[in-house]
Amino acid sequence: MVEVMRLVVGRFSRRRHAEEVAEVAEPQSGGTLTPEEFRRIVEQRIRDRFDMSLTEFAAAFRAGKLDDDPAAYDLAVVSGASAR
Amino acid sequence: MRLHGETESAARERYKYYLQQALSCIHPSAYFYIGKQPLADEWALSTNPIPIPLQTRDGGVLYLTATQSFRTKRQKREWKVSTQAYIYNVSEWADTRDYMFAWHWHPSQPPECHLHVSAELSNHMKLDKKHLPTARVSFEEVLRFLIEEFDVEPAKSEWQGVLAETQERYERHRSWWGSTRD
Repeated sequence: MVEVMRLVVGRFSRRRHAEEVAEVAEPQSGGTLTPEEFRRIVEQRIRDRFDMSLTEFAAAFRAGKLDDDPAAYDLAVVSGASAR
Repeated sequence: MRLHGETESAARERYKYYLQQALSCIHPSAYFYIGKQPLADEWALSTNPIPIPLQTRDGGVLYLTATQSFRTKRQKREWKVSTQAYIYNVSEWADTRDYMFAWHWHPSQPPECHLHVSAELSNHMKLDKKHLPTARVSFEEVLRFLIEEFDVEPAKSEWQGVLAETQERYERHRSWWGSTRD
């Protein structure tokens, strides 16, 4: 049973990793992404730039802690953190 | 922007289409795409690539980040697309943290359209954190500025006509044009 579970977890982990790599890739053409696809891209950009989660980023932006970085405004607009 | 007799998705796509026409004037393959903001009930326009590398006539490169958010709402029998924010950053570096110009309108803070400029006065006052007031700036105006004043190489020979057409459409449908919407 343990071996079976390891096998299942291993397959899931590999598939999950492959999916994550694919999921955060930028779209290959114009159009409208699903909310999930767009959220993953925004979260990835925030992680890459600020090493924060979406929630942490929104709190920091709204507290004025990222005012010095114009990229924060770009990500605040795409994420909705800047919305009133 | 009013779009007669269309579905909401068609209105969104048409909104993107004209911005895409403008974008095609400075880059042959960059494109806009749309997604729902994770933290708000609005749509966002982003680009691939980000930032967008722009070739200059002297062989250099500038980098542009262009982002908008917008709402759609049905008014009477038509869908209206309403811009809620824009961010246009121009930099000499792919990391647009070190921008030259940044035209911003993100009305949560502050409400006015403004420009950030990377410059320093003789008294060492830095302008990059200052909010230089502007009227509402269109995407087309930024692109025309980059081509005419910063020698960005147009990606198509008919760029002037394309930008004039999309600018005219923007001006015809916009509901405000001063420094603030409210």
